[in-house]
Amino acid sequence: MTRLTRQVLVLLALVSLALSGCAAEKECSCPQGKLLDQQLMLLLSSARAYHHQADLYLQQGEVDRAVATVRKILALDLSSRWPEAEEVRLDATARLTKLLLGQGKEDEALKTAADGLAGAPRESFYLSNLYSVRGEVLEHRSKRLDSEGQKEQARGAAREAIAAFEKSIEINKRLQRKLLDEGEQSPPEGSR
Amino acid sequence: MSDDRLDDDDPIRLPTPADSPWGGEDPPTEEELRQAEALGATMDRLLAGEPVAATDDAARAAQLIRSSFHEERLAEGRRDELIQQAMRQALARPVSLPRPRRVSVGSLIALAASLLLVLGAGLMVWQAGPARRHVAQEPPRQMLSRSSDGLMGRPFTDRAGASSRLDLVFADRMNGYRQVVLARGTP
Repeated sequence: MTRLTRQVLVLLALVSLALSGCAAEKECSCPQGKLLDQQLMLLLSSARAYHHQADLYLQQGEVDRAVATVRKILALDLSSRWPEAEEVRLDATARLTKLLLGQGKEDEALKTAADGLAGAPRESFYLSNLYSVRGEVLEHRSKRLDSEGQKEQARGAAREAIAAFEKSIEINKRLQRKLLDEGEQSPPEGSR
Repeated sequence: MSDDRLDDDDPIRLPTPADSPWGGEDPPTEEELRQAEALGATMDRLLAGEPVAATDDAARAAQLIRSSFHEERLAEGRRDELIQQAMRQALARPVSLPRPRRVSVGSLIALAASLLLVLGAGLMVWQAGPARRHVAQEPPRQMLSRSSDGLMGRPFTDRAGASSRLDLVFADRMNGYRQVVLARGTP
Protein backbone atom coordinates (compact mmCIF):
# COMPACT_ATOMS: atom_id res chain seq x y z
CA MET A 1 0.00 0.00 0.00
CA THR A 2 1.55 3.26 -1.12
CA ARG A 3 1.75 6.34 1.02
CA LEU A 4 -0.69 8.16 -1.22
CA THR A 5 -3.21 5.34 -0.97
CA ARG A 6 -2.97 5.38 2.80
CA GLN A 7 -3.56 9.12 2.82
CA VAL A 8 -6.57 8.69 0.59
CA LEU A 9 -8.00 6.01 2.87
CA VAL A 10 -7.54 8.26 5.88
CA LEU A 11 -9.32 11.06 4.05
CA LEU A 12 -12.19 8.76 3.16
CA ALA A 13 -12.47 7.64 6.76
CA LEU A 14 -12.60 11.24 7.92
CA VAL A 15 -15.30 12.03 5.40
CA SER A 16 -17.32 9.02 6.57
CA LEU A 17 -16.97 10.06 10.18
CA ALA A 18 -18.03 13.59 9.37
CA LEU A 19 -21.07 12.38 7.49
CA SER A 20 -22.10 9.91 10.17
CA GLY A 21 -21.63 12.58 12.81
CA CYS A 22 -23.77 14.92 10.79
CA ALA A 23 -26.48 12.27 10.49
CA ALA A 24 -26.36 11.65 14.23
CA GLU A 25 -26.62 15.34 14.89
CA LYS A 26 -29.65 15.49 12.66
CA GLU A 27 -31.34 12.78 14.71
CA CYS A 28 -30.52 14.59 17.93
CA SER A 29 -32.03 17.81 16.64
CA CYS A 30 -35.42 16.14 16.17
CA PRO A 31 -38.19 17.10 18.59
CA GLN A 32 -38.62 15.09 21.76
CA GLY A 33 -41.68 13.24 20.51
CA LYS A 34 -42.83 12.11 17.12
CA LEU A 35 -45.93 13.48 15.51
CA LEU A 36 -49.20 11.92 16.49
CA ASP A 37 -50.09 9.44 13.81
CA GLN A 38 -52.88 7.21 12.72
CA GLN A 39 -51.37 4.06 14.22
CA LEU A 40 -51.20 5.58 17.69
CA MET A 41 -54.73 6.92 17.45
CA LEU A 42 -55.99 3.48 16.41
CA LEU A 43 -54.24 1.96 19.43
CA LEU A 44 -55.73 4.52 21.80
CA SER A 45 -59.14 4.11 20.30
CA SER A 46 -59.00 0.33 20.60
CA ALA A 47 -57.77 0.45 24.20
CA ARG A 48 -60.47 2.94 25.09
CA ALA A 49 -63.14 0.72 23.58
CA TYR A 50 -61.82 -2.32 25.46
CA HIS A 51 -61.84 -0.41 28.74
CA HIS A 52 -65.46 0.62 28.26
CA GLN A 53 -66.31 -2.91 27.27
CA ALA A 54 -64.72 -4.14 30.50
CA ASP A 55 -66.71 -1.53 32.41
CA LEU A 56 -69.91 -2.94 30.99
CA TYR A 57 -68.90 -6.52 31.77
CA LEU A 58 -68.13 -5.54 35.35
CA GLN A 59 -71.41 -3.69 35.56
CA GLN A 60 -73.10 -6.94 34.62
CA GLY A 61 -70.96 -8.93 37.02
CA GLU A 62 -69.04 -10.73 34.33
CA VAL A 63 -65.56 -10.41 35.87
CA ASP A 64 -63.94 -13.14 33.77
CA ARG A 65 -65.02 -11.48 30.56
CA ALA A 66 -63.80 -8.14 31.90
CA VAL A 67 -60.40 -9.70 32.66
CA ALA A 68 -60.25 -11.21 29.19
CA THR A 69 -61.11 -7.87 27.67
CA VAL A 70 -58.39 -6.05 29.60
CA ARG A 71 -55.94 -8.71 28.48
CA LYS A 72 -56.84 -7.77 24.91
CA ILE A 73 -55.56 -4.29 25.64
CA LEU A 74 -52.21 -5.70 26.72
CA ALA A 75 -52.10 -7.77 23.54
CA LEU A 76 -52.12 -4.60 21.43
CA ASP A 77 -48.86 -3.26 19.98
CA LEU A 78 -48.25 -0.92 22.89
CA SER A 79 -44.75 0.07 21.85
CA SER A 80 -42.85 2.31 24.20
CA ARG A 81 -41.94 4.56 21.27
CA TRP A 82 -45.25 6.30 22.05
CA PRO A 83 -45.49 7.57 25.64
CA GLU A 84 -49.27 7.33 25.45
CA ALA A 85 -49.12 3.67 24.45
CA GLU A 86 -46.75 2.95 27.32
CA GLU A 87 -49.16 4.61 29.70
CA VAL A 88 -52.07 2.60 28.34
CA ARG A 89 -50.03 -0.54 29.01
CA LEU A 90 -49.33 0.52 32.60
CA ASP A 91 -52.92 1.50 33.24
CA ALA A 92 -54.32 -1.70 31.77
CA THR A 93 -51.79 -3.69 33.81
CA ALA A 94 -52.92 -1.95 36.98
CA ARG A 95 -56.55 -2.62 36.16
CA LEU A 96 -55.87 -6.28 35.37
CA THR A 97 -53.91 -6.63 38.59
CA LYS A 98 -56.81 -5.36 40.62
CA LEU A 99 -59.29 -7.51 38.74
CA LEU A 100 -57.15 -10.57 39.42
CA LEU A 101 -56.87 -9.60 43.03
CA GLY A 102 -60.63 -9.27 43.15
CA GLN A 103 -60.85 -12.80 41.86
CA GLY A 104 -58.59 -13.95 44.63
CA LYS A 105 -55.72 -14.64 42.25
CA GLU A 106 -53.15 -12.99 44.44
CA ASP A 107 -50.04 -14.59 42.99
CA GLU A 108 -51.11 -13.93 39.43
CA ALA A 109 -51.91 -10.36 40.36
CA LEU A 110 -48.46 -9.86 41.86
CA LYS A 111 -46.80 -11.36 38.81
CA THR A 112 -48.84 -9.17 36.50
CA ALA A 113 -47.80 -6.07 38.43
CA ALA A 114 -44.16 -7.13 38.51
CA ASP A 115 -44.14 -7.72 34.74
CA GLY A 116 -45.67 -4.33 34.14
CA LEU A 117 -43.18 -2.57 36.40
CA ALA A 118 -40.21 -4.34 34.87
CA GLY A 119 -40.77 -2.94 31.37
CA ALA A 120 -41.41 0.66 32.32
CA PRO A 121 -38.90 2.95 30.57
CA ARG A 122 -39.59 6.11 32.59
CA GLU A 123 -41.50 7.53 35.52
CA SER A 124 -45.11 8.62 35.17
CA PHE A 125 -48.29 8.87 37.17
CA TYR A 126 -49.29 5.58 35.54
CA LEU A 127 -46.16 3.92 36.86
CA SER A 128 -46.79 5.41 40.27
CA ASN A 129 -50.31 4.03 40.15
CA LEU A 130 -49.05 0.57 39.28
CA TYR A 131 -46.65 0.66 42.24
CA SER A 132 -49.58 1.68 44.37
CA VAL A 133 -51.66 -1.23 43.04
CA ARG A 134 -48.81 -3.60 43.77
CA GLY A 135 -48.77 -2.17 47.28
CA GLU A 136 -52.47 -2.87 47.60
CA VAL A 137 -51.98 -6.48 46.52
CA LEU A 138 -49.15 -6.92 49.00
CA GLU A 139 -51.23 -5.28 51.72
CA HIS A 140 -54.00 -7.73 50.95
CA ARG A 141 -51.53 -10.58 51.15
CA SER A 142 -50.12 -9.34 54.43
CA LYS A 143 -53.57 -9.19 55.96
CA ARG A 144 -54.42 -12.61 54.68
CA LEU A 145 -51.20 -14.13 56.03
CA ASP A 146 -51.70 -12.37 59.32
CA SER A 147 -55.21 -13.69 59.58
CA GLU A 148 -53.88 -17.12 58.80
CA GLY A 149 -51.39 -16.80 61.66
CA GLN A 150 -48.35 -16.53 59.43
CA LYS A 151 -47.05 -13.48 61.24
CA GLU A 152 -43.54 -13.51 59.89
CA GLN A 153 -44.65 -13.81 56.24
CA ALA A 154 -47.28 -11.20 56.91
CA ARG A 155 -44.64 -8.75 58.16
CA GLY A 156 -42.53 -9.45 55.10
CA ALA A 157 -45.44 -8.76 52.75
CA ALA A 158 -46.24 -5.63 54.71
CA ARG A 159 -42.67 -4.38 54.32
CA GLU A 160 -42.87 -4.99 50.57
CA ALA A 161 -46.20 -3.18 50.43
CA ILE A 162 -44.78 -0.22 52.31
CA ALA A 163 -41.84 -0.09 49.90
CA ALA A 164 -44.19 -0.19 46.92
CA PHE A 165 -46.32 2.62 48.32
CA GLU A 166 -43.19 4.57 49.13
CA LYS A 167 -41.97 4.18 45.58
CA SER A 168 -45.30 5.41 44.29
CA ILE A 169 -45.15 8.46 46.56
CA GLU A 170 -41.60 9.29 45.49
CA ILE A 171 -42.52 9.15 41.83
CA ASN A 172 -45.53 11.35 42.41
CA LYS A 173 -43.46 13.92 44.26
CA ARG A 174 -40.87 14.09 41.50
CA LEU A 175 -43.47 14.35 38.78
CA GLN A 176 -45.42 17.01 40.61
CA ARG A 177 -42.28 19.03 41.11
CA LYS A 178 -41.45 18.62 37.45
CA LEU A 179 -44.93 19.66 36.36
CA LEU A 180 -44.77 22.63 38.67
CA ASP A 181 -41.50 23.73 37.10
CA GLU A 182 -42.86 23.27 33.59
CA GLY A 183 -46.05 25.05 34.54
CA GLU A 184 -44.08 28.15 35.40
CA GLN A 185 -42.72 28.21 31.88
CA SER A 186 -45.81 27.25 29.88
CA PRO A 187 -49.55 27.00 30.42
CA PRO A 188 -50.75 23.66 31.75
CA GLU A 189 -51.95 21.09 29.30
CA GLY A 190 -55.65 20.99 28.68
CA SER A 191 -55.97 24.73 29.30
CA ARG A 192 -55.56 25.55 25.61
CA MET B 1 20.01 117.05 -50.93
CA SER B 2 22.46 114.23 -51.34
CA ASP B 3 21.98 111.31 -53.79
CA ASP B 4 22.83 108.03 -52.16
CA ARG B 5 21.77 105.83 -55.12
CA LEU B 6 24.52 103.91 -56.83
CA ASP B 7 24.75 104.02 -60.48
CA ASP B 8 25.06 100.78 -62.50
CA ASP B 9 28.00 102.15 -64.14
CA ASP B 10 29.60 102.92 -60.88
CA PRO B 11 33.11 101.56 -61.17
CA ILE B 12 33.34 100.89 -57.47
CA ARG B 13 30.37 98.37 -57.43
CA LEU B 14 31.45 95.02 -55.91
CA PRO B 15 29.95 91.60 -56.95
CA THR B 16 27.28 90.24 -54.52
CA PRO B 17 26.96 86.58 -53.43
CA ALA B 18 23.80 86.20 -55.51
CA ASP B 19 25.87 86.80 -58.57
CA SER B 20 28.17 83.83 -57.76
CA PRO B 21 27.01 80.23 -58.63
CA TRP B 22 28.76 78.99 -55.48
CA GLY B 23 26.67 81.14 -53.11
CA GLY B 24 29.54 83.02 -51.64
CA GLU B 25 31.57 79.91 -50.98
CA ASP B 26 34.81 78.97 -52.45
CA PRO B 27 34.47 77.51 -55.91
CA PRO B 28 34.91 73.72 -56.11
CA THR B 29 38.21 72.31 -56.81
CA GLU B 30 38.95 70.32 -59.89
CA GLU B 31 38.82 67.10 -57.92
CA GLU B 32 35.41 67.95 -56.47
CA LEU B 33 34.06 68.78 -59.84
CA ARG B 34 35.35 65.50 -61.22
CA GLN B 35 33.68 63.52 -58.38
CA ALA B 36 30.43 65.38 -58.88
CA GLU B 37 30.43 64.61 -62.55
CA ALA B 38 31.11 60.93 -61.78
CA LEU B 39 28.26 60.87 -59.29
CA GLY B 40 25.90 62.49 -61.77
CA ALA B 41 26.84 60.01 -64.44
CA THR B 42 26.36 57.12 -62.11
CA MET B 43 22.98 58.45 -61.04
CA ASP B 44 21.98 58.71 -64.66
CA ARG B 45 22.96 55.12 -65.26
CA LEU B 46 21.12 54.05 -62.16
CA LEU B 47 17.94 55.79 -63.20
CA ALA B 48 18.25 54.31 -66.64
CA GLY B 49 18.38 50.85 -65.05
CA GLU B 50 21.88 50.17 -66.15
CA PRO B 51 24.06 48.01 -63.88
CA VAL B 52 26.51 49.86 -61.66
CA ALA B 53 29.47 48.55 -59.78
CA ALA B 54 28.63 47.86 -56.14
CA THR B 55 32.06 48.72 -55.01
CA ASP B 56 32.06 52.10 -56.72
CA ASP B 57 31.76 54.85 -54.14
CA ALA B 58 29.84 57.02 -56.55
CA ALA B 59 27.43 54.19 -57.30
CA ARG B 60 26.75 53.56 -53.60
CA ALA B 61 26.25 57.23 -52.97
CA ALA B 62 23.86 57.39 -55.95
CA GLN B 63 21.90 54.44 -54.59
CA LEU B 64 21.61 56.09 -51.16
CA ILE B 65 20.45 59.31 -52.67
CA ARG B 66 17.90 57.56 -54.84
CA SER B 67 16.59 55.48 -51.95
CA SER B 68 16.14 58.57 -49.83
CA PHE B 69 13.76 60.08 -52.38
CA HIS B 70 11.07 57.35 -52.35
CA GLU B 71 9.99 54.20 -50.59
CA GLU B 72 11.93 51.28 -51.80
CA ARG B 73 9.72 48.37 -52.78
CA LEU B 74 10.74 44.88 -53.53
CA ALA B 75 10.10 43.57 -56.96
CA GLU B 76 7.05 41.34 -57.07
CA GLY B 77 9.06 38.28 -58.01
CA ARG B 78 11.59 38.87 -55.26
CA ARG B 79 8.87 39.40 -52.71
CA ASP B 80 7.15 36.12 -53.60
CA GLU B 81 10.43 34.31 -53.49
CA LEU B 82 11.18 35.55 -49.98
CA ILE B 83 7.71 34.58 -48.70
CA GLN B 84 7.93 31.11 -50.15
CA GLN B 85 11.37 30.65 -48.69
CA ALA B 86 10.18 31.66 -45.22
CA MET B 87 7.21 29.31 -45.42
CA ARG B 88 9.36 26.45 -46.52
CA GLN B 89 11.66 26.98 -43.58
CA ALA B 90 8.75 27.20 -41.14
CA LEU B 91 7.09 24.04 -42.45
CA ALA B 92 10.32 22.11 -42.56
CA ARG B 93 10.95 22.77 -38.88
CA PRO B 94 9.69 19.91 -36.67
CA VAL B 95 6.66 20.92 -34.62
CA SER B 96 7.29 20.48 -30.88
CA LEU B 97 3.83 20.22 -29.32
CA PRO B 98 3.62 19.44 -25.56
CA ARG B 99 3.23 15.72 -25.03
CA PRO B 100 0.24 14.58 -22.98
CA ARG B 101 1.28 13.67 -19.46
CA ARG B 102 0.59 10.20 -18.22
CA VAL B 103 -2.01 10.21 -15.46
CA SER B 104 -1.05 7.89 -12.65
CA VAL B 105 -3.48 5.81 -10.60
CA GLY B 106 -2.45 7.68 -7.49
CA SER B 107 -3.40 10.97 -9.05
CA LEU B 108 -6.79 9.58 -9.98
CA ILE B 109 -7.35 8.34 -6.43
CA ALA B 110 -6.31 11.69 -5.02
CA LEU B 111 -8.71 13.40 -7.42
CA ALA B 112 -11.51 11.06 -6.40
CA ALA B 113 -10.81 11.69 -2.72
CA SER B 114 -10.87 15.41 -3.30
CA LEU B 115 -14.20 15.11 -5.07
CA LEU B 116 -15.54 13.06 -2.18
CA LEU B 117 -14.40 15.69 0.28
CA VAL B 118 -16.13 18.40 -1.70
CA LEU B 119 -19.28 16.28 -1.95
CA GLY B 120 -19.12 15.54 1.75
CA ALA B 121 -18.78 19.20 2.61
CA GLY B 122 -21.68 20.01 0.34
CA LEU B 123 -23.75 17.28 1.94
CA MET B 124 -23.00 18.62 5.39
CA VAL B 125 -24.04 22.10 4.36
CA TRP B 126 -27.15 20.69 2.76
CA GLN B 127 -28.00 18.73 5.87
CA ALA B 128 -27.32 21.64 8.16
CA GLY B 129 -29.83 23.79 6.32
CA PRO B 130 -32.86 21.49 6.67
CA ALA B 131 -31.87 20.70 10.26
CA ARG B 132 -31.98 24.37 11.17
CA ARG B 133 -35.29 24.75 9.40
CA HIS B 134 -36.51 21.63 11.18
CA VAL B 135 -35.72 23.10 14.56
CA ALA B 136 -37.18 26.43 13.61
CA GLN B 137 -40.38 24.85 12.37
CA GLU B 138 -40.83 22.36 15.21
CA PRO B 139 -44.51 21.48 15.41
CA PRO B 140 -46.57 22.58 18.38
CA ARG B 141 -46.35 20.35 21.44
CA GLN B 142 -50.00 19.52 21.09
CA MET B 143 -49.28 17.70 17.81
CA LEU B 144 -46.59 15.49 19.34
CA SER B 145 -46.81 12.15 21.03
CA ARG B 146 -45.92 12.73 24.69
CA SER B 147 -46.62 11.73 28.24
CA SER B 148 -50.09 12.53 29.50
CA ASP B 149 -48.83 13.35 32.99
CA GLY B 150 -49.40 17.00 32.24
CA LEU B 151 -52.94 16.24 31.18
CA MET B 152 -53.59 14.32 34.38
CA GLY B 153 -52.10 17.15 36.35
CA ARG B 154 -51.88 15.20 39.62
CA PRO B 155 -51.48 11.66 40.90
CA PHE B 156 -54.47 9.43 40.59
CA THR B 157 -55.69 6.24 42.12
CA ASP B 158 -57.14 3.36 40.25
CA ARG B 159 -60.50 4.28 41.65
CA ALA B 160 -60.61 7.16 39.23
CA GLY B 161 -61.07 4.62 36.48
CA ALA B 162 -58.83 3.70 33.59
CA SER B 163 -61.70 4.28 31.17
CA SER B 164 -62.23 7.88 32.13
CA ARG B 165 -58.48 8.55 32.05
CA LEU B 166 -58.17 7.13 28.59
CA ASP B 167 -61.23 9.09 27.48
CA LEU B 168 -59.48 12.25 28.50
CA VAL B 169 -56.18 11.31 26.85
CA PHE B 170 -57.86 10.14 23.68
CA ALA B 171 -59.88 13.32 23.33
CA ASP B 172 -56.77 15.45 23.78
CA ARG B 173 -54.67 13.43 21.35
CA MET B 174 -57.45 13.31 18.80
CA ASN B 175 -57.49 17.07 18.85
CA GLY B 176 -53.73 17.13 18.26
CA TYR B 177 -53.92 14.47 15.56
CA ARG B 178 -56.59 16.47 13.77
CA GLN B 179 -54.18 19.40 13.69
CA VAL B 180 -51.48 17.15 12.29
CA VAL B 181 -53.76 15.98 9.52
CA LEU B 182 -54.90 19.48 8.71
CA ALA B 183 -51.33 20.76 8.68
CA ARG B 184 -50.28 17.96 6.35
CA GLY B 185 -53.29 18.42 4.12
CA THR B 186 -53.86 14.70 3.74
CA PRO B 187 -55.93 12.29 5.85
